[in-house]
Amino acid sequence: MNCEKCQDLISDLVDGSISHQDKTTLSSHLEECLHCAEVRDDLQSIVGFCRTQQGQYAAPPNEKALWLRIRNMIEAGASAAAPAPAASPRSFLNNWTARSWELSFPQLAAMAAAIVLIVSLSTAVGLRRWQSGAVDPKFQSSQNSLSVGAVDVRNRISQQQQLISYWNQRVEYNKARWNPQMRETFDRNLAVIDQAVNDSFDSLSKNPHDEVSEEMLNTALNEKLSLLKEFAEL
Amino acid sequence: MTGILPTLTETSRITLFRKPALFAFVLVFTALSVSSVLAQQHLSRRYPVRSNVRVELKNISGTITVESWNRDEVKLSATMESPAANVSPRQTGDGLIVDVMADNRGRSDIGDVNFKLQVPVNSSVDLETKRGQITVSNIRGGLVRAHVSSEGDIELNGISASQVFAQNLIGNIFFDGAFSRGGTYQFQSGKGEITIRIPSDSAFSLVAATPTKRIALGPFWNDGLKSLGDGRKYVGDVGDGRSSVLVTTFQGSITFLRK
Amino acid sequence: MTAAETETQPETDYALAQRSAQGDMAAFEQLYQRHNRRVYSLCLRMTSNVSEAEDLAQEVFIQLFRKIGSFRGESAFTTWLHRLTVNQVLMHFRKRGVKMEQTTDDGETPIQIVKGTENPNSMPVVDRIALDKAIAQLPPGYRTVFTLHDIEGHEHEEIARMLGCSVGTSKSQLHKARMKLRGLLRQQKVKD
Repeated sequence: MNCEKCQDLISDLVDGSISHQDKTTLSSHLEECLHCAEVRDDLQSIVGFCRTQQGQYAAPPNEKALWLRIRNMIEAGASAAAPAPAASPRSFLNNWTARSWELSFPQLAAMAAAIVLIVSLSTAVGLRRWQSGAVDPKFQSSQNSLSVGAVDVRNRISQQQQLISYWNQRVEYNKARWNPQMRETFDRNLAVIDQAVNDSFDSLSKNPHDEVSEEMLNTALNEKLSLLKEFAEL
Repeated sequence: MTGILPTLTETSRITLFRKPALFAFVLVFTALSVSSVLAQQHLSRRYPVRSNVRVELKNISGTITVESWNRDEVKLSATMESPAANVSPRQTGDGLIVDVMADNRGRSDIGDVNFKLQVPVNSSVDLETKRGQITVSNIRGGLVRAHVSSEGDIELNGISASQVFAQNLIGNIFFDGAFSRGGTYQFQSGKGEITIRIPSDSAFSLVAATPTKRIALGPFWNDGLKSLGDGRKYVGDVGDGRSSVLVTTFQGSITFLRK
Repeated sequence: MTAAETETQPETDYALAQRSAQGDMAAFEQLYQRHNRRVYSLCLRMTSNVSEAEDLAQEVFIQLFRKIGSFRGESAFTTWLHRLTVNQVLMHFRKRGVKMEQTTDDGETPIQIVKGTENPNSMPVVDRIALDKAIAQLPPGYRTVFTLHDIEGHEHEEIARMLGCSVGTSKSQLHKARMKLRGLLRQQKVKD
């Protein structure tokens, strides 16, 4: 028996699924060939260790947050079939929800995306304990200066901000492992998008009915969330 | 001019011979450059593909350059800076996937990977990187998507795909090409100038927004376009509005040029 | 059995599954609490990526809620959930275009240890961190078969059914995965 044939059979030997005849031939080869014997010992050591790992489980980074996301997603899925309640047409979002729908495939896809967003936002409500720390003080002060007419915008943004805080935590957790250039890049880009968020918010606080600023703010917040999510996986 | 000022070669020669310290510096610098080149690893592979192949590339950091050629083949070249990333391209039913992210799970120490791809002219290309410039030239397939999560310019030249998406955070976006009927074109930057160069007879439905109010529609301006928010946003049709164009930048200008 | 003992007896998975099928979220939350670590760990072992594993675990529980009415208690709930999880991860791999059968022609560079250059010492003592690090570097196809067989304890026949390949392919993939892992662990030892 040559080494190549021998090594093909070693896994069977380790698993105990080798035929009697092969085992005899293999054993005599292993007695003579130190290299193949070493392969057998190594594989036995790997497989043996893995068997000791069976039944040992790691917890997700945040079991509670994961459960909230799952529950919200299930509930959103259940309510997706229900007709959307008519809302007073005050802003572009309300106009959007007040329209009647005959859904094409792309529209259905868009609706699915919207459900994901709603779920994300409502998950954020459950994650209030992460709220502190990540909100720009300037942002908070602008928020406080918003008029009563923009309450729903403020709530929506506050929820989005909590979601951002969650992903920010994930980034901070991984950031120490990045190389210095990657850290600098991230910080520089986060500063740019924070600037866009703050500018839009300032503008919206001066004129709460400014739809362009509202749109820009939404886009900027989504962009920030996307930046955090993409760097969280590094 | 040559009579008054020394040429670059003359300047170099004078400097090198008159200043030994600088000469030594140049030697050390050259040695370092050579060692850094030696630390790089190269990969070059060719894949026979169909003419409308879909190529997906997910990089972490580094440049991506895509060019077309008249062959039903993809040539992928990559230069890996040290510590070298694993790059394991995979051929699937309808295309080629290169996922540096997935190939290096669990590693946080990898260097830049600079890619150059040559693809059939009718390919679709879907390119992503966390950081780095993306350049795509002469593609006429279904999709050109260039997404830089953070900073890096995006340059799209000679593109006539029916769907184009270009997005970055810090960096300019340049598009030179044509819009197809029914196509979708989206350009979004956080802090960067967006320039779109298209034929004068282009027809599209436009939404362009920037808080800086620097929106120059040039020859594509018409009375049917509506200005919103004091010139921060323009909405309306150019021609018969046969394709959809969405342009947004938070800190930068939007410029339309005629080819 | 006293009344008090009866009251403290935990509900079976089957009973909780039946209540969940009626839309009882409290029952479903209990199932989540019992099994989320098992599901997440399997996703993590198969993907070697924390955020991907978390997203997949989320998707598994959403699918579980949708399908829980079809659980008839014929097999153990854990076995049923395990199969659901594996299928979900495999579907995710397929969407990403991950090739499950790994060959040396698709860009995968095999670890080759030339005789005489390898570490003369025997295999370094395998520990959890070293193994996790090495598993993370396996190509997804190898990682899947290795996880399912050597960590989760599935037989090749089951793996072949799940992956839609032959038993022979599953066996040869496992052997290649182990050999690659051996090389990676030795490399780590040399680096250390």
